[in-house]
Amino acid sequence: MPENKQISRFYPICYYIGLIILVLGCLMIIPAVTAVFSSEFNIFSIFLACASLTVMIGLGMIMIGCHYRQIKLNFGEGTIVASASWLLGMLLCALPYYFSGNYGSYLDCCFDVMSGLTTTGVVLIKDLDHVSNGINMWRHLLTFLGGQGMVVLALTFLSRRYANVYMMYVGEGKDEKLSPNAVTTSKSIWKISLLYLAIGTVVMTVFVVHAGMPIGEGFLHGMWIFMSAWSTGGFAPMSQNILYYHNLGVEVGSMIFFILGSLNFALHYAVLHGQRKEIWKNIEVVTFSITLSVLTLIAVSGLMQNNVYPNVMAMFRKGFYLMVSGHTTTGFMNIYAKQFFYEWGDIALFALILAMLFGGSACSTAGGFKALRIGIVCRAVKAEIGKMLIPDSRVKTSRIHHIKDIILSDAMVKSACLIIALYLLTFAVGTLAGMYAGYPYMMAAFESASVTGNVGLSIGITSPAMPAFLKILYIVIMWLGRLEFMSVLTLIAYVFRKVRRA
Amino acid sequence: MKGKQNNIVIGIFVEMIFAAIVVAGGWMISVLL
Repeated sequence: MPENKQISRFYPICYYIGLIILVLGCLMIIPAVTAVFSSEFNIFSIFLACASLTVMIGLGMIMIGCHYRQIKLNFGEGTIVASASWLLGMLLCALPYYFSGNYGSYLDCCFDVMSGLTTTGVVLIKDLDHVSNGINMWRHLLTFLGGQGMVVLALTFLSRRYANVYMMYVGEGKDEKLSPNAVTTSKSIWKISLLYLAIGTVVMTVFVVHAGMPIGEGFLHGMWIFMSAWSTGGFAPMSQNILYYHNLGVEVGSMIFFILGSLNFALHYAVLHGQRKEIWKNIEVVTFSITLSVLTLIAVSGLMQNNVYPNVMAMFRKGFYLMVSGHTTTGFMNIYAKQFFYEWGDIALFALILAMLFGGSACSTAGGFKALRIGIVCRAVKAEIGKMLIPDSRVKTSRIHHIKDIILSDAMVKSACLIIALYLLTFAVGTLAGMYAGYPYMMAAFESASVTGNVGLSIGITSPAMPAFLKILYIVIMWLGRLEFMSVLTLIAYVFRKVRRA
Repeated sequence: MKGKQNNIVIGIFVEMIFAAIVVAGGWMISVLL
């Protein structure tokens, strides 16, 4: 083992990142097989070559660090593994996109990979309607992986160092323990997701086939739409997104699955293990229901003021669908991007921007502030007001209900406020950058809220023609938002420290 | 084992009902306004 303490810490980090890269390389076999079944032999060879390269890089990193794998990582190092593997994973997963010829540049490929892994859903791909099945499978697989947590998937099956896995689990933006250790927790998350994958694929295939698609193609579309909906991703196999199907069943079916996808995995686990009443009293569900109702009322009143959707069905299928899509951070669209700007009006857009920033539940596939944090802050405000109305001699504790009753502590409130403040700061930076790029304030704010909350709704800014600096900034914002800042900021601090010491 | 499977099936049913209530709520808001 090297004597230099700093150098010795590098090797276990390298080992764990290598494991994750190895798994990503192995996963490229799935789109390769899809390409073979679809007679896309050119795409098959691209995936085979990229998988070989990725596996070799992963194995190389494992070999470099394998002698030091017994070293226990601290919290900071665990988060560095999570954030660095997302960055390296992005660069390698973008290779099949680049060689497929569907993208204008390698930067565009990296943008789409980060959009997929972070379950955002904004895209820069060209001519999506004619993209091969292999590439489409890779797009949706990335978003499905990103939703459940790719770092945790890799380490669940390849590592026995449970303490280290927990550090990386937290570093990937998930901090709930479904069971005593991170490995069984992660296995539970994947079991729940795979169970729903089977149900959702059947349901969505039926709807897509009913909409008029042949059964073979309908199966692929059904599975991809479910993968996107459950992961609150927003990718779809057609450029018109959900609008392509013009089908109420597809819209309602996808809405049900992305509402379920935005729920906390701890809540799924509790409900599927007998605690059924939990779904009606959990603080996240209550908060989500209240914010969605209030914001929908505001949006609908704004849309009515502009007479955008003249009848109930249009208001439900467009107005409400897009509000839920935004609030759950899914990003499925059934209108054209420019219609937001030219038809929706300021009031409805304001409500949608707030919904995108609020987001879904903590420890789910969704992004945004998270309902848990909004619930904690609201309860803290209520508690502070309550304190002013009771005598000084009386002590009153506040509680929240999340799986069990929890006493509200100052540390919880501070942590929630800190993350919300960082989200707002990132949103402000994204909006400012959009305005510098020449877009109107409302467009810049909408797109910034969409990438900050990992939503994927677009008002028309995200396109291959947008400035390169905005693409890079959006990649960073998506990465920050998904990993909830701390992991990425720890990685940046680590790199700066290394550079300064060098 | 059978009890565990029953829990999962009923749990999925309960979750679906919750999502359906949210969707129905959106329909109600569209109708009432």
